[in-house]
Amino acid sequence: MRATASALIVVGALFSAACGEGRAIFNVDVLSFIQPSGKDTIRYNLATALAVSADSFITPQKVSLPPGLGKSSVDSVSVTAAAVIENTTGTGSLQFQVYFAKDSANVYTTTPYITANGTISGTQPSTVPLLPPTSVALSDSVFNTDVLWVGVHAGISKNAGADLVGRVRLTTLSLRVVLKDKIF
Amino acid sequence: MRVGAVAVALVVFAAASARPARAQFSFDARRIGMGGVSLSRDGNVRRFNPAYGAVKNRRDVGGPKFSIPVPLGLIKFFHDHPINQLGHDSTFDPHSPAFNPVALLNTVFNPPIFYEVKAAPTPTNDVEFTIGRNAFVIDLGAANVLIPEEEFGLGSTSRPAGVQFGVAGFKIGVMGFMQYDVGFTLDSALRAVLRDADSVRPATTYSVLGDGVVQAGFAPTLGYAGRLTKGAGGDDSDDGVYLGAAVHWYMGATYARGRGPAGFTTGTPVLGAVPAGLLDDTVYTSNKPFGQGVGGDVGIVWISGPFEAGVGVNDIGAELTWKDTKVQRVLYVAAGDSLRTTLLQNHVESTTKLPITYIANAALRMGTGTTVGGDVVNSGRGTVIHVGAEQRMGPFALRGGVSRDQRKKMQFGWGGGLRLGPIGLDVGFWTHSNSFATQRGITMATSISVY
Repeated sequence: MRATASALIVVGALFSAACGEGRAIFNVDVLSFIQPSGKDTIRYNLATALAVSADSFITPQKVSLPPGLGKSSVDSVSVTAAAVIENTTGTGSLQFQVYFAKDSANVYTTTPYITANGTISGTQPSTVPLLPPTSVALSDSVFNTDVLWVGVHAGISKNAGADLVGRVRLTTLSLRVVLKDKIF
Repeated sequence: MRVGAVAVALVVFAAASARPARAQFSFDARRIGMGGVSLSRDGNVRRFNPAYGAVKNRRDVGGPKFSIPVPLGLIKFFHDHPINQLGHDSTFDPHSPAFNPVALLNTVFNPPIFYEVKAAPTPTNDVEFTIGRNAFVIDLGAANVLIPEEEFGLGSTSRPAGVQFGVAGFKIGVMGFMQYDVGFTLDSALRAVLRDADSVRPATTYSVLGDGVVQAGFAPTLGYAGRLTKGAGGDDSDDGVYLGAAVHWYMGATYARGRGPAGFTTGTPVLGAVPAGLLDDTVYTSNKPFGQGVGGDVGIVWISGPFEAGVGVNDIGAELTWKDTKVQRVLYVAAGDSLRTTLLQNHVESTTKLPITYIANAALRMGTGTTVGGDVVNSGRGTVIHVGAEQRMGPFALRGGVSRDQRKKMQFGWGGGLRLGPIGLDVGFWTHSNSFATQRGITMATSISVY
């Protein structure tokens, strides 16, 4: 990964640098790094008649970014995400959060970049889309790195009644990192 | 130390850029104003056509004894880039946020000797990288015009020095020769990635094929240039047919050649697997000097009244045989991340060739102060065509011309001059594409001619 990125980013960086006041923009499809491990999906099964809550966290996933990012200051970062609740039985609500950190140990100790809430109600099964607004951060030092860790948290609240069974699945998770200075 | 390095770099750049510059124009504002054509019997016609050795370069043909360039561009360059601050100049400092390598290369390819009336714009746009586990797209935007579609490189054949003497048209002497040619070709996959924003694909090789040769030496030469026939004007005119030929015994001092790809092969998936580096070049170097070969130049000039035309061809059949050559393979080895050099053959024979260079020229002096002419020149890497005209009106001269440069782009020249006795002041404008840009620049050349 790094060698490929290095080889091509060097070429790209040359032209990025060539472009005077032009910016280098990295569009990173984070979801594509998570999907092969199956961590893009969080399954839940709250088998009780009571109203309960539960939290589910995926193991932090590693995303390798171009090495030049580690030497640059970030002008701005946009995080875009979308998910869908595919509920089988029961009703309740779900809070969906996306975290980023420079190291895996601190992924869930930071403030989430994306938060969205969804309500599961009515006749089941049902599908509930979660479309949180794009998050924009300026000069965010978390993305000033060539290795990024991403985590997803699902906070599930079950209403009294039938078991709450289903899954929440990421459908989009992308970054747009804008650099205004030199990559190398 | 940095100032020194920059100064040295400037000198090197100036030398390196001499080839493209020479291919397009001289330091003579007259030629520049005529699109690069030489209407007098000097410059390229004498360099490439041995028959011109027998043709007198008369004053009435219009050429000055010599021209002195007035380098207004250098004044502006050193005003913008003070020589005592070059070490901190963002133009030359890669660590400066304002450093722009294309602007630097433009300076190299288009040395600021003459005043740049309109500089070719440096592309400025965003560059976007789209990265996924199995995708990598580079969108250079407008800057993708900088990605060459064909082979790109530098090359030239020159005869940097020589001495000769002779009698009755025969000449004997020794000339130096130097030839270099370095070319790079992006393979179609890499070109698609960089030029068409195609995604990098898994298990695919991306490479640049390099091919370079440099050779130099000297050549004892025996030549002849003479007037074969005389026209109606007899000895009082230049009318007639002139022939010239020279045989060179090339004695190469040294040569080196390398050829092969450099790049990488992606893994599967693209960003989830370690790619394999690729460098597999074959390098030839001469162990001993005196690679030998025989070649020649021929030329013919026909002059009839106001009309003259000529053709000259150089280095015909110039193939040098090097008796003692070492052949090595340079291979990138992933284990250890190192280069491995293997001796493939030693003390073997190899050959090199000097490219054939040529000129074809014609000029018509109409007797009303009007002279038109053109030439086709290939100095080793591509053909350049010049067509131009000059109209003299008393002490004044108006000039214009067009050319097709080595990049096959049309260029335009125009200008004028004022001659006061033995001194002439000339100004010439010419468009050029010597920059990394799609748009042309315009240079104003100024020179003083001494008649």
